[in-house]
Amino acid sequence: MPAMARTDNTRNAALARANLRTALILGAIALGFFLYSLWRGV
Amino acid sequence: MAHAQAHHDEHPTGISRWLFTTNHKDIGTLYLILSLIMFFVGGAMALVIRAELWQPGLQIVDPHFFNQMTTMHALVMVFGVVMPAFVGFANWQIPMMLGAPDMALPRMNNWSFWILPFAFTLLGSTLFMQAQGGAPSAGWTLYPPLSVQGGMGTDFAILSIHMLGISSVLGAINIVVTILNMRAPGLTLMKMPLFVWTWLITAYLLLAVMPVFAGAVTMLLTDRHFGTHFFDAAGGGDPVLWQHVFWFFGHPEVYILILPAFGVASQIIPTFARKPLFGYESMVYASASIAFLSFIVWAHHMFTVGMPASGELFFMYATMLIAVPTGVKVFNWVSTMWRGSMTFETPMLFAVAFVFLFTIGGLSGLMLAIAPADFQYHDTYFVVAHFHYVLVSGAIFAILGGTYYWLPKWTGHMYNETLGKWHFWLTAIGFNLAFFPQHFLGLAGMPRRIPDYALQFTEFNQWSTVGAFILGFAQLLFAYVVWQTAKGGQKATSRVWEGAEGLEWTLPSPPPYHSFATPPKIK
Repeated sequence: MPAMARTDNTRNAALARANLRTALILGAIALGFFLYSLWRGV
Repeated sequence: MAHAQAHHDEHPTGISRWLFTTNHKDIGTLYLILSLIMFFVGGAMALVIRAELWQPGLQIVDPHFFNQMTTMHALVMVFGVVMPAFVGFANWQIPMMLGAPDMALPRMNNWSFWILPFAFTLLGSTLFMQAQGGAPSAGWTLYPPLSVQGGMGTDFAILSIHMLGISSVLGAINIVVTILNMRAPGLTLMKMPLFVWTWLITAYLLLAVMPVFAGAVTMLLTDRHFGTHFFDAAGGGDPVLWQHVFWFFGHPEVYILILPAFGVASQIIPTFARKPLFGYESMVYASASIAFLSFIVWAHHMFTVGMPASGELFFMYATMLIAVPTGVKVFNWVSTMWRGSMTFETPMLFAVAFVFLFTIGGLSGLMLAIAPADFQYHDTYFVVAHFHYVLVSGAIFAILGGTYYWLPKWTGHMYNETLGKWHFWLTAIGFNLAFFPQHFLGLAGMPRRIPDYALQFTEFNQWSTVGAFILGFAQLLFAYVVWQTAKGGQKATSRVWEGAEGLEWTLPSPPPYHSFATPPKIK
């Protein structure tokens, strides 16, 4: 996502939502790697 | 504006400021303090090892405790010193370099840090459980069957590694989100400082491999306590599976430790050469290539385990390929210095030493990559010499140089240049004295991870021990310089260094508690 136009980062709800969305995607990828390595082990 | 600024500088005082902080600068400071403390803990363990190796025979510690020291020294230095130090740099610098007010997920940032002291307390507490087997002693690689048979220290290590992994993954998520979403308007990816680029790539590596390590230690835990046989040949498992899974994590981990160091060197060298970084784009692509290649070279750590020749060849050639992007980087740093107006303040001394000494570590790495030759070098002191050139004169020198470089920005005071130079020279001389002779020891056949050795290895070991003690005690000087600078001294300007470029140098030194609440415009 390109840098967002904003005046005050600390009160930018759209930015906070975008951050949460990106974080959840990355978290899901990390969880996927963990489960996949266990599954490969089995 | 003055009123707004004053409002922005309000923060809780006392212990609650540090416990509940969501401020990237405070969290960066916490990471760096933790790293400094662990540096002395891990360093003390190294000195126990070197003291025991002063002469052949058993003098100071028994072999089991010696094994605990080698294992804990590595775990502490990798997870407790180098990683937290670079995350500390990232917390301080990335938001300021991007013109962002803070990290993207500040509360998660607090949690990422505060997991660590508890994880290390858990790990360190095993040293006080000698009756139950003491600390983990199977080496930081935790190879079964040793790690399956060991005392409960290994269980503590497994839980501790899970906590460290969670902290790292949360930290990595935070860094990626910050870099992708929080850049000031106009700051495109290819305009970012190289330190930010190397951290973006490092964070992806962390996301990919820390969960794999968590998977591996989970299987180790179930083998130890819940009747599985993942790594037990008698039960249909395979100890070599551990080696593959561990090194699938372990090799990218090496680049997790070194890529941010590349980033730091790429910030320091242009500043003191007073020239823009040579080949910025090629630096970015070289970092990404190194990260990609790091996933397909893991079995070069286990050439002697018994692999098909085609496997040995693949991992040998893939490993050698890494020399290409690494060479690009080294030549770019040298080209940046070429005909620059160079001065040699302490950060630059560390950066130049980094380029020179890290390259020695890279070249001994190439020697180790040659599969047939590795059969001779494997598990000898040559390997110990190699990775200390990569991790001490690579990662640690970048951390020390980066600290001198940014300390005036963080504290608002200049450090004592004379003491800084003394620290550098003692560190550089002590380091080379400690580790260069280990190449010869390894080539002569001295195995690693042993408390006793044959008589003919004595002299080089004594050189090495003298060097290690110089290196270790020189770090007390570093701690003193940092403490002195934090306390006071000559005021630093905003830009600090004549040749410094970037958004962080537009802020006052020290920067206000909340910086870039309104994003700057990038042309």
